[in-house]
Amino acid sequence: MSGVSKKFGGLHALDEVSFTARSGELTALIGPNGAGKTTMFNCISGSHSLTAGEVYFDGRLLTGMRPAQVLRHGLARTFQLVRPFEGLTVLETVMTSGHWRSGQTFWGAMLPTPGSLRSEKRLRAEAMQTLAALGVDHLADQHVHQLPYGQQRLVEIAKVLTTGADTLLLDEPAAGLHATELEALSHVLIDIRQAGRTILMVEHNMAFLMSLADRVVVLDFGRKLAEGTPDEVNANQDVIDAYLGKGGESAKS
Amino acid sequence: MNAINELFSRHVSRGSAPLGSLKGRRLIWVEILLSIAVVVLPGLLTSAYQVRMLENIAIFALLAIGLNLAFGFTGQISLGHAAFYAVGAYGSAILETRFGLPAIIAWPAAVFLGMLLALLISLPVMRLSGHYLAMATLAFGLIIEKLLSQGGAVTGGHDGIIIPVSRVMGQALQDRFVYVIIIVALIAYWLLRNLTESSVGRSLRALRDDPDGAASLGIPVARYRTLAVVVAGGLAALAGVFYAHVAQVITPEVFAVHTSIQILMMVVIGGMGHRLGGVLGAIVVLIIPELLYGLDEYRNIAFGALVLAVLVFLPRGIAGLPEAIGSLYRKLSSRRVHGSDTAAKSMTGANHEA
Repeated sequence: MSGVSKKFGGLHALDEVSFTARSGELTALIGPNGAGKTTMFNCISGSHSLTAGEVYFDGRLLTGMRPAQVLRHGLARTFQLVRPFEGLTVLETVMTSGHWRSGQTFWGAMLPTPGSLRSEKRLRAEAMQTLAALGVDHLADQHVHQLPYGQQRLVEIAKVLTTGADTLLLDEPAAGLHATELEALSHVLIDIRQAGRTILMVEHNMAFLMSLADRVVVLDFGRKLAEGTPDEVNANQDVIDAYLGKGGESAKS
Repeated sequence: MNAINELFSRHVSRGSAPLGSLKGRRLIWVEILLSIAVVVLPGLLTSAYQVRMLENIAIFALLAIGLNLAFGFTGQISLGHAAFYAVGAYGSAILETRFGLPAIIAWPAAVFLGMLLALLISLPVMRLSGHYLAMATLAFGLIIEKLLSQGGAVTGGHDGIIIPVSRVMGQALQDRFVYVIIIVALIAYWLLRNLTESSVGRSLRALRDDPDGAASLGIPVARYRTLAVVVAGGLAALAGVFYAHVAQVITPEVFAVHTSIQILMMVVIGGMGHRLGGVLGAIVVLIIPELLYGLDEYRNIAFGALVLAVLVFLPRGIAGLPEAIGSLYRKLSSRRVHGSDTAAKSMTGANHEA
């Protein structure tokens, strides 16, 4: 993934932000509320169009693409709030993620050809595999909106994993999780990264993210404040000011 | 990964067996047996009235399964579905009587016209949803109805069109017409059933529940919405062709708003987003008023009360009845077993709501 630079709206939600998320790494996007983190996500995934600037992925221009096209290039996202398909079970939800590469078409699916039956079998097997890898395969027949929050989060991650995308955009995956769920999630993320997939993550929970991220990008009021390893960012005076306020030093003394 | 398994298993009971696939497999036998029964049925019926009733059910089943695809599965409400029904009926009748075309050309042309109109309509209303879509489709239905009654010599105005059926179809076909309608309706049912049971069907339900979420999973939301409406429009036009040649005379009132609402009622009562929903709805909505015939003026009230009862107690329609009974049974039996276990009660309670 290569340079990202954009300006957004009359209200500069993002003002010429550039950064790079490297392939195979976990890059975290942090910043105070309203810093433009989710806006950045929407711009990358095609949910928002850009005012200016470009998003490149693997050397290809993503700017102006719709979400479905972005996915075709190998980039999938989760949403900040869990968005359940209320009429679908967990298994069906995860199977739906594989639909775009299943080869099933609207007219073709009306006839139960051997090809479409095979494709159904493969979708089911893949979805069950992903759910099992996340330890939630026993929930396959439940409905997502009836699950505890932590499990809903894991199903969201199962969804992006089953899209087959190599690069995952996770919007606050740890929000609202309690300690045990958090620990489970970080194991999952470590496993995903070890499998060679790239993760770009928006997160508020600093302890959680500092232990996982390879690189951290800090946004504040739509501008990039800092970029580097977790340790570098932790030591950065601008970042400390943004989070604690400029009066932090004098208040201490 | 085992660690995660353990962590999460604490929060939920592992008792639920994977029911989904099992239920699906049992249901296919019900579908096959019903299909056979329906093909045999016309031979067993004694009166012309019963045959006419069966034809009517098959015609409305076509309308309702189409609307169930567009509305129940894909979430696009329509209060103007009778417009496509009208296009099929009037389209075929006009082509046959005014242009002298044979049925073999007029019928497919009428169905094509219904699909084309659905495609054209779906483009501007694509961005609408909820009340706005309901209003737009209602207006569309009213416009078509008006066009039919004001159509002068082409549509015959309020007098409609009389179709010389034995001349256009031939006596042999007319005698076996009930079989033609039933077999075509069955084929349509199985095609749509396969579609909605496939990955495409899951995608339709997903985009109904959350269009943006579905788009981010690579589902072509706009394309699938349009295709669902086009298929529904085509099936409605096909139903219109059949109606015109069963009734032998068509007038604008038949295709008025109340017919659109009746079709919508069939979908809701039968079971929105259930493969049997449209068919069950058509059967119930057409047969129950007949059974209540002895009640005379109280018939409509009794039927209305019944509809209300279904909506209140069976939000997933008649197709959801076995499941509702099943979850009620589980609720009762679990209450007996874990009389004091409040956690178990709340679990089954949650299942029941689904």
